[in-house]
Amino acid sequence: MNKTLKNFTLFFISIFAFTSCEIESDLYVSNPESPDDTILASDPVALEATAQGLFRAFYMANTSYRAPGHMFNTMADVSSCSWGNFGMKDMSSEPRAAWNNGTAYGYAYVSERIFNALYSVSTDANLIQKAVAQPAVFAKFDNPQVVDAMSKFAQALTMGYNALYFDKVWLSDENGPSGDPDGASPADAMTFALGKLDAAITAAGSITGAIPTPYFNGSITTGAQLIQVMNGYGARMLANVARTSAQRGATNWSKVKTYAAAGPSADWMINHDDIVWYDLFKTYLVYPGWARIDMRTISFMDSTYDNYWDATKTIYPPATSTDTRLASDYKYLSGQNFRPERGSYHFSSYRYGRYDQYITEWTVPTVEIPVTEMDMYRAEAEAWGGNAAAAAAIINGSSYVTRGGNAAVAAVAADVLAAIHYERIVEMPLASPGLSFFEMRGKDLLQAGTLLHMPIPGSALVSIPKDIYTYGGTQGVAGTDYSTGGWR
Amino acid sequence: MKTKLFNLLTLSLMMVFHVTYAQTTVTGVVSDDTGVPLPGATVQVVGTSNGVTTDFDGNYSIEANQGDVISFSFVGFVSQDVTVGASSSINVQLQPTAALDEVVVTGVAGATSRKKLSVTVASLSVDDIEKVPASSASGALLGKVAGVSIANIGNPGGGSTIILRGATNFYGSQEPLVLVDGVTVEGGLDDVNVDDIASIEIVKGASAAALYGSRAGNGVVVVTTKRGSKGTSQITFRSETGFNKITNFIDTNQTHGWVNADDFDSAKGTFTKLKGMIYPVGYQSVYADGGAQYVGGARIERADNFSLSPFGVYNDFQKAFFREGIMTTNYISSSSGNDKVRTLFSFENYTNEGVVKMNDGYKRQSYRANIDFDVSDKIKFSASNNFVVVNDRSSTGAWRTATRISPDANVFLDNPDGSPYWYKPDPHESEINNPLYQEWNKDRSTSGVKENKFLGGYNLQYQFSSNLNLNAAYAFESRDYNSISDSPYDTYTTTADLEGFGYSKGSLSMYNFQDDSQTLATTLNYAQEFGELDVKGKLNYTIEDRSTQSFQASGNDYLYKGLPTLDNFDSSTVSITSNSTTVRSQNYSAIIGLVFQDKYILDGLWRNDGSSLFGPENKWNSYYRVSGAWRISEDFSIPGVDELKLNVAVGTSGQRPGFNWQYEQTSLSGGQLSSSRLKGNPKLKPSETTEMEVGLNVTFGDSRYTLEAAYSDQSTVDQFMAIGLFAPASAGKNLQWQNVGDLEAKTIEAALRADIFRDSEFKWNAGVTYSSTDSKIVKLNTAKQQVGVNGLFLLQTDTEFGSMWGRSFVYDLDTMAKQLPAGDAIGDYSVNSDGLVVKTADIGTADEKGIILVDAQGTPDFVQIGNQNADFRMGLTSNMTYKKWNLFMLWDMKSGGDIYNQNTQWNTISERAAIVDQTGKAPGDMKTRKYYGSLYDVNQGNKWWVEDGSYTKLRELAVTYDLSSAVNNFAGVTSAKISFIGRNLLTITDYSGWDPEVTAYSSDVGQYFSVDQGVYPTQSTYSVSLNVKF
Repeated sequence: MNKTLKNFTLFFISIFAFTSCEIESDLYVSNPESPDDTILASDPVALEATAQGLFRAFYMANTSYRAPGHMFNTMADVSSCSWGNFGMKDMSSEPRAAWNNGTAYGYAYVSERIFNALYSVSTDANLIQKAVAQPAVFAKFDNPQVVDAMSKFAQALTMGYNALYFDKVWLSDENGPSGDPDGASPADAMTFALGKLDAAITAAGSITGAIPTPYFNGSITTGAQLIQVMNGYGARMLANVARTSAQRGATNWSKVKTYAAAGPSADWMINHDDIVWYDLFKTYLVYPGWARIDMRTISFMDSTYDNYWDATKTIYPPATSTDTRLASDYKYLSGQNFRPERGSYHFSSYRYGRYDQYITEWTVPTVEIPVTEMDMYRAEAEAWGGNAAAAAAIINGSSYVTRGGNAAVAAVAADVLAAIHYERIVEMPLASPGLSFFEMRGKDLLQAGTLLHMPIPGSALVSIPKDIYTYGGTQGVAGTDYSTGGWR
Repeated sequence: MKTKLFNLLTLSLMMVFHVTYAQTTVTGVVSDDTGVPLPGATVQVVGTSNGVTTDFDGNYSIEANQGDVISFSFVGFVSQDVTVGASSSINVQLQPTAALDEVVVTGVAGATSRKKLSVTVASLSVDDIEKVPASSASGALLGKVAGVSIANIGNPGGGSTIILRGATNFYGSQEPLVLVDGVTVEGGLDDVNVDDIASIEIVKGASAAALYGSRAGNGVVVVTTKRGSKGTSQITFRSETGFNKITNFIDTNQTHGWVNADDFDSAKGTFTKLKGMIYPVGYQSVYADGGAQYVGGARIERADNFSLSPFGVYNDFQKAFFREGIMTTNYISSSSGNDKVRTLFSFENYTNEGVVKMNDGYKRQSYRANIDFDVSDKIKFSASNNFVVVNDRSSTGAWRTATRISPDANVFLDNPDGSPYWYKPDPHESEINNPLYQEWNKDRSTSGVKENKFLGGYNLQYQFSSNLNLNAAYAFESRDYNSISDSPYDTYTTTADLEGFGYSKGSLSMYNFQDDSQTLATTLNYAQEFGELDVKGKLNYTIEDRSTQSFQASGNDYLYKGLPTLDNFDSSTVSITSNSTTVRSQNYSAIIGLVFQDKYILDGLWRNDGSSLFGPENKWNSYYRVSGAWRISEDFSIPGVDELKLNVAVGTSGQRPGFNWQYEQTSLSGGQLSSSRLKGNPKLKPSETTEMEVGLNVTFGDSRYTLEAAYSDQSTVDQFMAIGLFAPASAGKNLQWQNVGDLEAKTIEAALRADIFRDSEFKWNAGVTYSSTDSKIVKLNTAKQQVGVNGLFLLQTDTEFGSMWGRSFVYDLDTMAKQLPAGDAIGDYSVNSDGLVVKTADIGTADEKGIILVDAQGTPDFVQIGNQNADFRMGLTSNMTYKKWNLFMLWDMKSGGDIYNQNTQWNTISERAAIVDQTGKAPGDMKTRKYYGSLYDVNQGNKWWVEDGSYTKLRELAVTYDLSSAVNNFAGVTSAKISFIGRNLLTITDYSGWDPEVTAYSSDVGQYFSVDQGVYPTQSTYSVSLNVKF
């Protein structure tokens, strides 16, 4: 009995030694890596942190390779690339083909990711606006006016860029969904977005202190600068929502002019840290071995230069131009690395060199809103308003002359419009995703069959579920969903 | 916690002692059933610590009293007890262990003879493993067990991927649960040293694995390591040295498609002089955007567009980049034991340089201490401790370039700063970075991986009675993984500098991953005989607790050269991330096994699993098994049949969801919220695999032949998938993990072992394994989804899991007729010499191209283009012994199973794939460069690049000579063997890549796929191994 007792004692001491190890059995475990929705929706600290990231989230999604920016540039025949990446080759092939909106398409992410990102940022902005409406929460923000202005700004950007890119937009704000439950038209969505933008501009007017660095990585530090940038986006979104030249002509140019006049008075640059702020849009369109500048762009500066690669040629000599930017911004390439079987029309003898410092240093700023963009909106607004002289004056005071060294443009409507187009193509071909595409779209210059806006991503449609549809080639409504015009 | 465990361990070690007694001398010879002496057999007086081992002639001498019982034992033979009588001479012949006499302990109610198993459990003995010791435990399974699919990963220490029977998961690993001495090994089998292994049991099906519940849907592999035995003191030393080499190089294009200069010969031997180009003086056949090596002008394509022009210089870069890498294994173990304590200590040092030049390769040290301590008659304690240290500085991927670079590239030219290996060595391609530079740069840096791993398993048993005992088992694994990726300040990168490349200013990334898992299990074991009824049962309660933590810090642009520290960066360029997870589970189970009259066997178990990985609304899930077996030969005498058993089992096991799948996820990184968001799913539950298994075991021909066959039909329901949501209606959430699909897999497997000859001087035994699996997605409650490498694999109802999908060219005229362009007639087309439909008029011209199969809307059709699943696998082992010579062979065969050869697809667009070379072709058969460019299909997944991955391999060949008599007990040596070993000596395959064993990991689903992206090629190994026992 004693022996048994001793054994038992020894055994249970040992068991105790085992079980005293810190082993836990509670099956309800939290995930410390992601904030849950309750915190994101109610905690003032979380809400302000989210507000600080709103613009970055929009910017990074928009400049990502998982967004249509690269593809749009090749569709616009401003950049050229026969590499398949990001849909660049498929969507700039000739004749133009429909966007493959199937879920199996290898580059489906180009529309999926920006679509999802814009709605997730919109959701954050709406949540913050709900909180802003609660005085008790609003009072707990360190920078309540900045939070208010930035969340309204994000509401505007997300709805506005949806309207720029897609054929339908599901409108929502802090009060919940609104508009057509099947999706609002781009024009209606733009009206909604600009309403939010105007409110944002008003809210930004209340900002008294400095804007904390995280909002823009130091690219904007004051309310006044923020208002300029907001106006800059306002001009961009309103001027470019048009799918056709007729729609562009019918744009409220007076309002565009107002926005542009209040926009940035110098190039607005994004500071990059190469960690959470970087610019993949420019990177892949300028990196050696990747995309090139389309021959058409070069031909603007050298009218004797072919605007379309002659398939019988092996190489073109360097172009010559009185526009000094041909030498400063563009780099001649004596060799050709694109594949001929994919179409020699992709070939080019130039790449864009203006961001070479960025692709070497990676932490230098890149432009997001060039002052030329504002100048040209102002000039175009004057032109559409019939004031060619005012338009010419703006152009002649712009980079068209100051950087390009071009002769002053005459106060003739056609010359003015041509100069505006020239300047957008030559001065800012890669300034921000979509700009070149919007310019060509609004002038009916996109090659025939080029889609005018993206369909709702196939993966989103099947989740509703709805039938997958697409645009481009001959799919959709001619002149509404795909181009019937074209510069060639 | 660890302090307590180490104290316990130290206590155990202190109790190691040896006791011997002196009595009268008994002598004799221990031999096998054919009379061949067995050196190293254990001879022990039962109930004492008095034991010896036989010498090289099988002789022994031991002190014993009349009436004592002496036990004779040897691995692979049935132990025999003999009572000492009047004679002082006892000679013993041991009988080999028949396969059906083996005892299985995994997944059953208690240690069970294979004859009485009601489920299928495969096993490998130490004998199977030691013939040709693999570098890791996973390698030891290769080709030897039916129903096990293994693919080598190739790089040193990379191990293998293992799938038991068919795949069971849409998302998540297909790898089985691995237990080593009771310790759940989260890192798999790769770092387990084979010299330490005593046996491996492989539980392949869900029913047999039901006892392991929600982690066992992929099956279970249980490794048991060697331990000390009573009365035996033995030191084992094994040293193996050899080299690895690639024996199959990929053919590449030895021509180009440009016009050579009229004075081409003037540069021959230095560079390829092309027409239209302006070469600088002193040109060295490299690429530069500017500077002394810049080449101006433009190349001129050959008018015929064929790749037929010779290069001015020819290099074989596969030979330049690869080497014969040395591998060594040095292993020593010491085992001893007495009545109270038995110990085994071992140390292994394994190094493998790998076959890529300028790499230190992979190094592993493994320390083991296994201790068994009989505290009293009723209390037994055992400890298994394994400490593994890994240093890995293997190549990280530059080898693919060896097949892509032009033969005239000058990879050996110094850079502008004098460092070796010109950064962009291909004169015709700016995108290619010099692989030798990458390897050199890594070699001079601090980059590498260090991992420390400790596995501890501790078992305490209290014997209430001969029928009942209680086990308390604690096991833990602690992994500390550290990796450094260091690019020194003067590391070249593509820039806008003069030559097109310049200093990156360097970067440093440091990563630490700490993984601690613990298991505490209490088991009540019961065994009782009631007349003709044997009853065994177990009640078990287990707690699992695993936590992981990782940190990564990275900096860009060193401030001071030569200081690889994170303090050497401007703080604004330093980024930090971290991650942590906690997983907890509780499981309780009950199992009972009944054997009536030694021939009717019934087994039942139930297990309930709770896990933190299950959604809050589905925290618990139950599993069961019912199985039975009938030893038919016990009831019916069948001529020639010694044993015939039929078993049937139905049971369930499953897979747990990933850690964060149930949660709302708005990921944070760098203080920023992700814009891709997941909606939580509180109802997420484990997937569940139900299997019906029928097995047959036959021993016949005077126990010479053993056949084990099984049919498995398993269905895995509630598969996990990340499902797309409509973001505008889901508060910006675009994904959610859901249980949405069902997968069925049917497997047939068989293993036949035969003792063909049992002559006293010549013995030959052989074995054949066969397995075949079909798996099909039978239900998917969501839209189809592309997964895997490049999205080549499709999840879709009524689709075979593992089938490849993508685009296709048109291969026949009937299909072409359905998609004729306007204005064309089918008569305009024909099938070319490659089997592709092309325009007849274009054949042989630059306009010839493959035509993409399209649907009714003209969109490229998305069709099945291949299937990575093998039709069947076979293994053949042959083991011949003649006197002191032994010859062992293992052949491994895979029939079917496609490979997507993306490496060749990529090399084709670079015009380096051999198919582009038109040398030697008849004029009518020649194809243009543009034609091959069209086959590339802009890097889309295309049927053209799918190849048959069938192979037959001579996996292992070993010739062993027993030196025991030659060393004649010199310096206490009781046994000595020398082996000449070859691994992967011969591969018979039509696959055009380096090797048909191809694995590419895809992080989207956490699985490996048969896509060749230039994977580290599997090598042949030639080595000499010396095994000495003292």
